[in-house]
Amino acid sequence: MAFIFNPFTKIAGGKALSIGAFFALMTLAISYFSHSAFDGVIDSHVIPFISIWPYIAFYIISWLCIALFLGLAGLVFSKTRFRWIDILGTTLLSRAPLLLVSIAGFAIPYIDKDQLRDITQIPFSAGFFIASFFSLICIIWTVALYYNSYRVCINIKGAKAVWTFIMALILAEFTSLVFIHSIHFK
Amino acid sequence: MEKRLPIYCPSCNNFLDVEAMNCQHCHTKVVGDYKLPPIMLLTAEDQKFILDFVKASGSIKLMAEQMALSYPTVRNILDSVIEKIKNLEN
Repeated sequence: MAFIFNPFTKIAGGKALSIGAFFALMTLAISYFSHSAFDGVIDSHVIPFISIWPYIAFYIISWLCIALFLGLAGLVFSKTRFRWIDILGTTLLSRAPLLLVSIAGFAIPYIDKDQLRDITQIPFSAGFFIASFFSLICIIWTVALYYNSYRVCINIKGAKAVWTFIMALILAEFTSLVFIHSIHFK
Repeated sequence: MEKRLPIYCPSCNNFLDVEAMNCQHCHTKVVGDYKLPPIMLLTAEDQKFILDFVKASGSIKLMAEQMALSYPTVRNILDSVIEKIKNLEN
């Protein structure tokens, strides 16, 4: 059980990067068909794009933002000389649960701005609620993995680990949203 | 049975010092007041880690392979051992 929330005591560096890359490829291949765009560090929305490139770009931007801010937090708040390859590898592997979110995306319809104005027009189904709740659980799992990645790679403990992680996560989320929303895809 | 070097006083829990040493060959006994070096005051587990680390030529990567742990986990163990030695020295 501990391994699914913290595999990083056993896997880090290049190995985590390769396994994470494998999961990323699988996630992106599925998300292209289910239209699940990971448009933020902890975001997932169903957006139908014609090309696969927006899905790839959003995934990479989100990953690099969380890796960058966790690494910067490590430089500021920890004395340990960590390796960037560990941060990059473990954060990419932390995104593995998003594979399940991309599958759940098949059960979630695209909701445009017009439908949002009149919520009664949205065809809510039991599948929609189950898939949304399941996606939320998977995103919480991803955040737990991000936290353990940070704790192991940076060697930071206690309350300091919690508040610096929350700060880095908020900054990474904000930065990823700024970058992603400045890109215009069709 | 493996004998463990006692480092804590069973009465007050402070570190023990060495008072007597004995030559197994000629049975000469040296009596004095000697402090145990900081490494000897670490737990058996930490001492084993240091020994293995030296035998691995100080390679964290090799240690990670031997211990079946990730590189940062081994580095964190090393950091904690360094911290303990620093505290014992002060």
